[in-house]
Amino acid sequence: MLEGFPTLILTTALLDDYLKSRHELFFGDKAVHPFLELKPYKDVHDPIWGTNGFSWRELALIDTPVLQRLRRIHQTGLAFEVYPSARHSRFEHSLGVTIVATKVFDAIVRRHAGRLRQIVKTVENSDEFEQTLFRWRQELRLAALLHDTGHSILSHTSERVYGKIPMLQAAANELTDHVGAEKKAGEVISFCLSHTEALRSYLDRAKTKLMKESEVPDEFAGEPDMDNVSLLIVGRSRHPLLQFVGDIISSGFDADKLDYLLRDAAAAGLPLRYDLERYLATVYLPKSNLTDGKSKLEKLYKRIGVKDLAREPKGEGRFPYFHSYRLKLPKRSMNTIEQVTICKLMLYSYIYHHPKVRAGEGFFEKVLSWAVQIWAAQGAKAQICLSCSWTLTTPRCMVANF
Amino acid sequence: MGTEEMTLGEFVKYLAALLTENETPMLFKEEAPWHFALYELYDQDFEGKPKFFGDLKFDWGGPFPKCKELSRYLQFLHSTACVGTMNPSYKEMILKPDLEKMWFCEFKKIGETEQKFMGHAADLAKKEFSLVA
Repeated sequence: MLEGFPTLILTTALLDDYLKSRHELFFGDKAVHPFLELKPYKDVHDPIWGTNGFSWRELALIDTPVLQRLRRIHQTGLAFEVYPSARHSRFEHSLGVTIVATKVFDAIVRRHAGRLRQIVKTVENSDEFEQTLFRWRQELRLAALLHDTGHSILSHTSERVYGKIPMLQAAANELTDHVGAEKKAGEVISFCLSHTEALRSYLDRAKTKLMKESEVPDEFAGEPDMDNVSLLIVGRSRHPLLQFVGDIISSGFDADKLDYLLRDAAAAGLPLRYDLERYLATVYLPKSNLTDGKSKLEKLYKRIGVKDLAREPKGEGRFPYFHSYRLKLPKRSMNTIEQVTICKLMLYSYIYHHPKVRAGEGFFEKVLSWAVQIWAAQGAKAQICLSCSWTLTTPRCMVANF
Repeated sequence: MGTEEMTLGEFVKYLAALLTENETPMLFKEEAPWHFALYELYDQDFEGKPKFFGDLKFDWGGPFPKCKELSRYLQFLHSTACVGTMNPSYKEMILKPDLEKMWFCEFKKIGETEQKFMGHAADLAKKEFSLVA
């Protein structure tokens, strides 16, 4: 799938080696995890979204160091220095995004059952409507869980530093070229991680640990296509007609935003809200054109083996395009759109761009840049700088890396 | 200042000042014409084209080729109160008169080739806006 993108292949291989050597018990040749039998699903309580179930496959993934390290990464960088309670982590945010993404997907299924039946027929050439939807839902949930795994210490603060490592810059350019949309270093790592053989074989192995006597609820059924999970992480999907699933993870009003707006505001103690119920009651899938002026999408779909897919010539429009369905909010949801926009503006103004937060992060960014320079001066190749950056989850880890 | 040093932010400022000077209504809610104009400039050869065009990235898959950086600048014009948009439903952006004067003065100070290029950009933008209106 990544042929023609040497840096993405290299980054994936590097992360694969890293996982296998650093976390042998999970990903090595003699891996023992998951060593306990997995329940079909478990309920997890979240302060924002309440009690929600997670499937055995998701639980296995959550148990890995790939997800567990997110517990030590502050969602809002150094904002806790100004808002003492803003100590929430990328971990609970990832669980939150999974929950919201599922709510959006289920709302779409309720509203557009007929349309989805057609899409299932076209994309999968199958009449197994419900099973297919369960599988897509499972892929979406795994992508939501994995979407932030590329983050390092203090989230975006460190991303600005390791994004300058030449290898990651090259990988970000390749990923941008691969999916036809601008992608940054953090997304590169999340994308490549989901491609690693270590993670994929771990999930295969987890299946053998599923309690045999219990039945997995339908909603968590389906054998996910991990290649599609990787694409969903970066806001694409394995077929133009499924673009709306990618939109749930990454778009103007995606599940990521819906979660972090409420979570960050609540953690900082700011009374900001938007109307999720109205969002869910109105979100819909209009027919839409997936423009493809530079043939990037055409090449992507060819690479991933989509058959019988014709790109429409430009006709009345200016660019060739694919028929698609996109996630949209109608005009009557203007109130919700305004609430989300204002909420975001307020969060930027109050938290993310608070002068003291920015001063602290600027200082930390310099320290981290200095650390990367030292690694480079000590002869560390870009690959080592990358693994060092990714290892960093707490200042203590950072010191340990010297 | 040489053209090659012009940044996307300066480009947006000069363009906004020029369009306001020419009394061309600048669309706000409908962002597509801005991106179409930028993409056309990106795609064509024109004397004095600033260097930053070479670094621009456009996202495919939407109804138009979208440059995220341009979107951010347009939003910043609004969030930093350089433009007003309550007319009454975010249809147009109206540049503050004192900023228009200041940015137009800055525009007048750039080189002739750069001014020609900006004039061409303003014509393109005007054409794109008229297609929507």
